Amino acid sequence: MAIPDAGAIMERFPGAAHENSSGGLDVIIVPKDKIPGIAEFLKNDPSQNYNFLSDITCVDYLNMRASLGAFYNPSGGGLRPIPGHPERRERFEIIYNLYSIPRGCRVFLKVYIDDKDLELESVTGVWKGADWFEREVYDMFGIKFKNHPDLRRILMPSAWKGHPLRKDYPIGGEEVVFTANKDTIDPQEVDIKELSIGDDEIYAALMLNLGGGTRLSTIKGDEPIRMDSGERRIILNLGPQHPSTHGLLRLVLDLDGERIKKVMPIIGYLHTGIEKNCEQLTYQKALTLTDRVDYLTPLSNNLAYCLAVEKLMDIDIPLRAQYARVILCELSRIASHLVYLAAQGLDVGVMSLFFYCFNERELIQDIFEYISGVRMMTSYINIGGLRYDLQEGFKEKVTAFIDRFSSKIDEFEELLTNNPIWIKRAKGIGMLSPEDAINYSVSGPSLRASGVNWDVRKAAPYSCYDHFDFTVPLGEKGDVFDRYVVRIEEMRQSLSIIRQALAALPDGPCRSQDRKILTPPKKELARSMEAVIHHFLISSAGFPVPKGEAYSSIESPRGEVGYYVVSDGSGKPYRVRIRGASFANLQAISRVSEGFMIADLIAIIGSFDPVLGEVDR
Amino acid sequence: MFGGYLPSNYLPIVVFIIIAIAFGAGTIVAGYLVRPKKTYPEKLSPYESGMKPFSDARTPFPMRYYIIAMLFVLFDIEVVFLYPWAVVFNKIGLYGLIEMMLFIAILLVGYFYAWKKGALEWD
Amino acid sequence: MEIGLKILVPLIEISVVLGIVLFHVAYITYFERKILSHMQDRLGPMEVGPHGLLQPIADGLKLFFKEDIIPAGADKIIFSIAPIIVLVPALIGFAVIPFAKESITIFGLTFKPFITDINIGILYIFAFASIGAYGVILGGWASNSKYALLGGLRAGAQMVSYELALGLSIIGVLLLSQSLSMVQIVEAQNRIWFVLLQPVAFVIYVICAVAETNRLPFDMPEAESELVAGFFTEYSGMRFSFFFLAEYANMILVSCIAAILFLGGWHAPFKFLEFIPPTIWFILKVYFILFFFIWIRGTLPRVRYDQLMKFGWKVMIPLSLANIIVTSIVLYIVRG
Repeated sequence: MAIPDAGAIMERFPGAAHENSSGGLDVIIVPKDKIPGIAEFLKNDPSQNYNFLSDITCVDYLNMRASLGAFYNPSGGGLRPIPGHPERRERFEIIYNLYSIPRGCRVFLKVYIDDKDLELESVTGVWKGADWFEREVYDMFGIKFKNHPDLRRILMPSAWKGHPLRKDYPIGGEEVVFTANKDTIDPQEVDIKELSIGDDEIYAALMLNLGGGTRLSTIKGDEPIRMDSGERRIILNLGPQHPSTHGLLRLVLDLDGERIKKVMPIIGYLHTGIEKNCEQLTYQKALTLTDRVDYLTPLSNNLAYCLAVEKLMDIDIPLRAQYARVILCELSRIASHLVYLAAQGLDVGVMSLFFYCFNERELIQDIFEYISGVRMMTSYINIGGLRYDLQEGFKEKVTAFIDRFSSKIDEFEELLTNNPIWIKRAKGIGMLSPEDAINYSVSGPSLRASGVNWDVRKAAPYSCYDHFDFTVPLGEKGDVFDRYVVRIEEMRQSLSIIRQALAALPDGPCRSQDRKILTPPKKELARSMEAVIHHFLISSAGFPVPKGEAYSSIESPRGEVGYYVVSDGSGKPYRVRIRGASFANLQAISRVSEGFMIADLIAIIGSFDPVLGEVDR
Repeated sequence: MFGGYLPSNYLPIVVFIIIAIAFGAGTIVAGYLVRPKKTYPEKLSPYESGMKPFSDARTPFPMRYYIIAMLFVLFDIEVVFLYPWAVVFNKIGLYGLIEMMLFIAILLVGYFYAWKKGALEWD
Repeated sequence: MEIGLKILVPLIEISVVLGIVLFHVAYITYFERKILSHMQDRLGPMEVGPHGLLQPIADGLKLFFKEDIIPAGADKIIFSIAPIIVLVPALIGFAVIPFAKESITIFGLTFKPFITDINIGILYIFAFASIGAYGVILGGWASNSKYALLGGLRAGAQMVSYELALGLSIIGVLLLSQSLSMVQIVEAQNRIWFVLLQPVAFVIYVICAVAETNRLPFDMPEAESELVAGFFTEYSGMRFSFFFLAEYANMILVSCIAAILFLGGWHAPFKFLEFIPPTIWFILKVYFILFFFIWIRGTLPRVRYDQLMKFGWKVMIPLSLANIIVTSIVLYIVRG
């Protein structure tokens, strides 16, 4: 599938080339110096209209070159060209993932960057949402974005040495010093102190951001930090250890009394390096890490990852599995929205709602436990289908739950929707205009609350979502109240989808019968040596995935979750990029909360429903 | 003993105050003998969500609070006047009623002035 | 001898009242947790003693043996005495509460159903209650923590604002009873409870009482989702528990006042129910109001701070003034 207007782009920007990658991506390769111009064109030209920046990421092709017979020459000159890919000399590939909400199509821009010249023009002037994406690329790969307003590390501590997602970054597994080899290896000395959170740099950046005549007189050592300030202002740390930041989120507030003048989010306290870890594991094992990305809806992340790998492998998924995936993902959506509702309630002091919601969520967890044996990190959705077939009685259990839950939603609504205190706390608070929402790369219910009709389930149906009839609830003003109403309505729609899928759930296998990914059945193992070998290979080295790259995006309860998977043909992913919805959504918080009070900020954070596991990954 | 000046009804109150203070102070002192005392700089630092505070907490804060305090003083005086008036309301008759209505009216003028001036807005 | 008796009887009474109040403070925390739990489909404390009945004692002991941390930057003296400034007014308010109708005589000593009956009873309670606000502000300020400071400021502004409406709301009752003495106010409700004559004042009183005791939906000063713990963020151990004690003692105190001013104190609601002792009636009424406090905590969201202030100044105060004007005019006409 070629995008219809690739020609127009290449005509306008000489040097740009169109490429159809193996995973079915529409790729335009852009010369390095053309990127701001082409970004501007793609966003603003009416015939293009790529208004939504889904993601910016990077792949380090250092090892890939080597495995393909080319070699990387550290002394200069980059990589030797590879036959068939004469243009790919450079080590890094920056990928801009653009989506046009009005046109419903996606395009990937690629920029090749040599590690002799790591500078690239920033696109923050085109999309506000590029801010954090570019910071992450800088943090993880060391690509410097020119004209970026605040290019600092975002996930790693500011004093960190090196860029972890580079392929030559030491990952552990290096030779360990024993008495036998202590003379032959030279252990790298790491100063632990330097690796601790670099407060100084953060504070310096804060001052830069907060601006306005504030100086830091002392920022070193154990002395308390004091600011000279001529103005009446309080600079306050809200988080990371705070009851209502929904995880290890740190917000630095510039306050005038209780009114917020500026919010600066600082993240990375929960960074666990999932993307890097995935590169070390086989495709099957990496799946278990995706559970941990967004721990409130592990199954959605399983699905997004599996879809990407399945695209690369070109496997057909049995219908039963596809329907079951829909049911499970919608159950997860309800479970996740329940946590949102519980936390949002607690944020504004409705304590009881918290317990009511968790009671219901427990029932969903019970269903998950029943089918997979695990309550949260199920890894139940697997490459090729489901891990194993649905348990007998699954249908009855889910039916019992949805029958019970439809009336429960009304009960929950009774507690809040018409409550005058809640209305006063939520209406007109933290308004996000549709333009801003798109500009800041906000997706999911938070985007739809602003009235933008974009739901991946409708726009680019995956896993048979087009077989089901449901509506996408939209808000009007994009305030805390609309975000609440949209999520409540989404739960109702999920119930309807589950009902339809349950009724139509076909019989048959629950996993692709492709022997490439399946371990041989047990009875064969006793008879066939080949089966044993195959079993051994899949279990140890993993099944090989054809070389290429694929992107899959799904509608998680928090928005667009995308997995960009690059394979080098081996049993382990070469690169897994996770586009977390909360990561992008969180950027908008500072935009919408300025001018409101502390109490409003708490409600606003809750209304965006961030999951810090997904933010920091 | 008190020369009749201090009504004896108030004596128990004085005793009660002394007992209450003694209870408070006594509990803390008693606790001092048994509770652990292991301090280190991190434990003694003020809570600011686990981070180093940016500045001293005793910064100037908005005028708003002073305005509220001033208004409180004004209205509290009114309340003080209303209490004895209410108690003797039956005895002072129409004259007292009209007097107090006038007094409240004058206060209301000030109240609406403050309202219009925005003193009651929290912005 | 006479002086000795004058001291001895109040001493015994004070000890008994203090004991009862502290016991209730301890167990109101237990009942709050239990009632909230059952409203929220859970069990609440179950481990310490049967049905967790010994939980308050365990909590008290724990707090007693906890380290008492005074932050490095705090104003040590003010930080230390602030909890006592909060606690003492909350306790001594009970001096003028009449718990029953008649005196009892034990071992030849006559015990009145109150510690003392002074002719300015209600004024005395309010006068001391406002001292508690100082303790809260000072505690928040002395901690040298921004959360505590914000909590203290909120508390200060909130408590003075609602004190006004609270003070104004009871003037209607005073007009009816023609006395400030708690005992006489109760006796004035011999025929009809003031809640029926002063329903507006009662509603204003209850709302302001919730605000004065910093309870949800008006728990701004300690809104845990915003200010962590508000003015007592930095407090620990016994000093922390004093703020806690004071909050619950105040809750019981305002419930007692509500029962006395509006719900007829120890009067039975109907003549045929008078066989039940007056003390039981009084306690039942107080428990009912306490339950109401807990009930709304389990139901309502928290209002925002500026909304709270606006509500206090723009709704509560004009409403209570209007109530006074209407009551006095109607009274003048009725009584001629």
